[in-house]
Amino acid sequence: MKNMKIGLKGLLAGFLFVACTVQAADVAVIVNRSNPEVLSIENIKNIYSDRLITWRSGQKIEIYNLPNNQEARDVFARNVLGMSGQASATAESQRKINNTLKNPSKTKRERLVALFVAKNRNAIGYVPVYLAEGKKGIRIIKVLKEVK
Amino acid sequence: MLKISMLVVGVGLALIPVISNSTSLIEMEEKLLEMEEELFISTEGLYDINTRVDSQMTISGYTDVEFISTSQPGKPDGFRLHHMSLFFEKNMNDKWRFFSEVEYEDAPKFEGTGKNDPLKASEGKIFLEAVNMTYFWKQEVNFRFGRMFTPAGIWSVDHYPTFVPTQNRPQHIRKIFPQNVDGTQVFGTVVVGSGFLSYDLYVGNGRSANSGKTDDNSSKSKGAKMSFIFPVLNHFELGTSYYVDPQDSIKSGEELIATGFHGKIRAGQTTLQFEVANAEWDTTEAEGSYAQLLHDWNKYTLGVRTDSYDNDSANTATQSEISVNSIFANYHFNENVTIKIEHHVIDNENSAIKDYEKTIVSIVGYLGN
Repeated sequence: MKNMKIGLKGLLAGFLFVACTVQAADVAVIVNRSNPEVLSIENIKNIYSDRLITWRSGQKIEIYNLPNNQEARDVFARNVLGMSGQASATAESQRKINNTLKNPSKTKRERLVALFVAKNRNAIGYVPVYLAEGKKGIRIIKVLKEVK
Repeated sequence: MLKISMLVVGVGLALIPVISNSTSLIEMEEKLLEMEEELFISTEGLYDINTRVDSQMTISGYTDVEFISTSQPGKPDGFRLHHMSLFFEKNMNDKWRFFSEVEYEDAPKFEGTGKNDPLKASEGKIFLEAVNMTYFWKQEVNFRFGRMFTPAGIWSVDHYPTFVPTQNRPQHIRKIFPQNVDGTQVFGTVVVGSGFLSYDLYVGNGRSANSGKTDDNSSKSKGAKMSFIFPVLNHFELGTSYYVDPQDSIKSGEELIATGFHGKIRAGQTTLQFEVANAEWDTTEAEGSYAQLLHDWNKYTLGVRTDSYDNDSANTATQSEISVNSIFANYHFNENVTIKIEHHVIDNENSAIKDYEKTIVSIVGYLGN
């Protein structure tokens, strides 16, 4: 019985360690489960750079971003846009005030991004992997690792 | 008989916790269903609230304060409350968007006397820099109506102190292509292979002291800008601009034909940006160009720029070319606050005009979205 308890504690600690490791570093780019698009990193970059604003179906893409101070935004921006999370926010603000922004993104907290993508067929977003895995209505299209 | 009775009572007593347990299980299931329903309603409510928030009018803006030190004769060192601009935007629905910018420049003050006399005080500038409605039809074709920044080159549009590395802009900006156009514009982005061709076509009233109701151009100005974004590096863009105004008011109604070429290349954290532009009126010509190299390093942006402008380029005898070489550094406290220091060396082709230097230290605040 004592051995079993120790085993369970070990298992729990291992699970927490794995969960925390994944939580800290990995970010999942997500779309709605009913969205059939296959996207490359270049496609995602073009969407978040305001160059590509519609899906192949002609429907307008609904873009979700995380707040600027979140680590996942930085991981996403460095992997996809080749710049820091702050620089990516600045670039979007610039497009916004010079009136060239065609498809503004919406900034929401992680859980809300997951919720909105799950509810909206035309949405795309990114969240820490643990929030996307097994979530109803969501399809993970890319997993991004932290850029060291 | 007694034994049987005791057995029945015993079984009954034994079953009490089971029955009560199953009752509580049913209650718990009902409770869980209720909670699920409440959670569903809350989630839907949250979704609705967020959707509504996204379509509300947003107000943003920027402001900047400068200290200017210069060796230019007759110009004292001093502070300048340069801009306070407010942006009002609203997504009216999925297709229509309203945008406007009201700019207060140099701390404007206009004070009336309350009589028919002229103003007691009039300083600074209040300027409706942009006000337009845009109809987003599709990726390739969209329409804009109202006052807009002239789509010509890069700096004409990407000009806000919050996002450009210097307070001083390259000299030819606004002198060859006008700052704004009152009119209508068609714009879009076409996917070409793995690249993108973005275009702007516009028709407007042209440049005049009042390009609105009392517009004095009997012929309308027309313009176009095209940029190709190549699928290489972080950003690789080359483009060209064209503008024609049959009656340019700043040159006594002469015809203006302006052309330009621009490029922006970003590799890693280094960006090269350049523009070349030329204006031809009936009697004169002007030419301007700049090249700017900058590097982003953590919270710093460091860079250099060389810039020249000649307002009478067809006539070499006038020696009217002015060159400005600049070095600058920006420190971004966060995405909203930047401190800049820039040093400019101004060199006049005409030796009769004294060359001078200028240093500007400024703090720029972006008021967020």
